[in-house]
Amino acid sequence: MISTRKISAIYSKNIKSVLSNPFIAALPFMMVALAFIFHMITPEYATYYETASTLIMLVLMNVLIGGATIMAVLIAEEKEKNTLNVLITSTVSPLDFLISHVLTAATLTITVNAAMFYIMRVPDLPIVDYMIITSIGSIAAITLGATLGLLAKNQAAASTMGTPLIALVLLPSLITDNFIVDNILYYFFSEQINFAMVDLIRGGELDLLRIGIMAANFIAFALIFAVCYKKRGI
Amino acid sequence: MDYAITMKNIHKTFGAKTAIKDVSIDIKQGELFGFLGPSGAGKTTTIKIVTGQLKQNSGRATILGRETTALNHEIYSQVGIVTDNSGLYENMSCYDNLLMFSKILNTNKKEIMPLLRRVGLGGDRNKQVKKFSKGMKQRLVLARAMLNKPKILFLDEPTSGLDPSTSIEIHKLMLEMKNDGTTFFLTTHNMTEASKLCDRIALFNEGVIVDMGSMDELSQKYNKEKSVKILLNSGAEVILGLTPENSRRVAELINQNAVVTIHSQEPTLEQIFLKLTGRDLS
Ligand SMILES: Nc1ncnc2c1ncn2[C@@H]1O[C@H](COP(=O)(O)OP(=O)(O)OP(=O)(O)O)[C@@H](O)[C@H]1O
Ligand SMILES: [Mg+2]
Repeated sequence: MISTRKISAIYSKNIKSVLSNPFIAALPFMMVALAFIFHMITPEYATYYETASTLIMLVLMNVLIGGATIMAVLIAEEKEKNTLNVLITSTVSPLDFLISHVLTAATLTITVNAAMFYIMRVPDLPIVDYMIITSIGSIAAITLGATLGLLAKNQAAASTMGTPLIALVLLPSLITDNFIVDNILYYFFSEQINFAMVDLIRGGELDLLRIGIMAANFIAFALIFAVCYKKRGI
Repeated sequence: MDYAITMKNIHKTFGAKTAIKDVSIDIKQGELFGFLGPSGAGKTTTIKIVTGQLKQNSGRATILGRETTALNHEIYSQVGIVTDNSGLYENMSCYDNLLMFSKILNTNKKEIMPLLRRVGLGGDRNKQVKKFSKGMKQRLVLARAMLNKPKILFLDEPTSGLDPSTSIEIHKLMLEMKNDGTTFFLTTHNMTEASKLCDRIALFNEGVIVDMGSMDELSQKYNKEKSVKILLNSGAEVILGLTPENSRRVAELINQNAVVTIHSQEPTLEQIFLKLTGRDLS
């Protein structure tokens, strides 16, 4: 069903060219620079909890804006340059196409997540758990970005479509209706990244339920992508 | 007989506009079939439907025996497609573009260079595609479509906008592939191309096939007032209908050594098209 040969061919093409795409190139560096800036303005006397909270904010920004935008632009580029139809009519299945691009965007996003961890220096936070949580969250955001890219008119439009996703982070603190926060927003992967990280900061364990909710988000986004893809045709 | 491509009563509309009306054709394996029609006739739409990139509203189409509305992506390993929306990776070199598709299609990468030389791009292997001219890109797209030695090659106006010598190269390549048994589905608005290459030609206008046949069949069918055109020593041209009386005139002229050239006057595809549709091909 899934062809690793085809996926790796497209993935290596993507990795070679992704940083020469003007709509993508600056994004990872901007995120890393932002981490440096926050590291510098964090006072010496800041508590572990405060530093870790800053890291959560940074990583959510990278996952939501960075991950989704990179993916949206990658997909929009293949559409705009008429290479999507060529791939599909060269035996690449839609699933192979999706996976190879998710892996590309994930490589960039996850590298930046790791860089943020080292830049913010929160040594008591377990890196493995941090990477698991943020990587799964990244893949969910990226899959959501895939649909945005499919719907975008062109790369320029796609490059701005990730930004509003930051609302997912802001909404829980703005909405005072607890019912909505507890019963709807709670099930978004962004909230789960947030909660899972707070668990870790408090010295708790990695909660599999949180991972499960993020994975369910990913599956839902993949299904939405499949439906939109079918609707559009090649 | 197994047909390479079949279309039966294909109908396609875009909103209120009907792009294709009741098109039926059967294309044999190894045949070089041409769709000749002006801009907007529906040529690209037809190619998209038979290659499964667009769904018809009604009718049935098959390629290599399989329904085009339910093409398994593996069928694409047996076809090559060249249309004006066949994109290339512009930031990659010419060779790397083919290398990537060679990996995808699981073909031998040793065949890439000979193929590039065949389309005249051997010397440009390391050049970035964004620096290519339109003709070079077109040749690279063609080379890519040939990578998997397709059973059917779909070519949507493959020489449109190319200089004559490049066009001739592409024609040569097509005829070589035809000799190897490749089936061609060619669209063009160039009647010279159609008459030179095609085993059969469909005259296509506003989504309708107005007539279909080999070049000889078509020209004979529409050659109603049979005549010859004679260029004389004096520089004068005379057109004579094929009547017994005129045959004597022709014999006389030949005997007098007055004839420079003599040509039969069957209609060109352009004239046939004009007669059938009231419009020009271009
Ligand atoms: N996606 C679409 N939406 C709406 N109308 C379309 C679409 N694609 C094609 N058409 C219309 O269908 C008709 C046939 O178009 P098509 O592109 O198949 O013509 P063509 O013969 O390939 O022309 P050309 O020689 O210019 O390439 C045209 O009137 C065109 O405007
Ligand atoms: Mg066309």
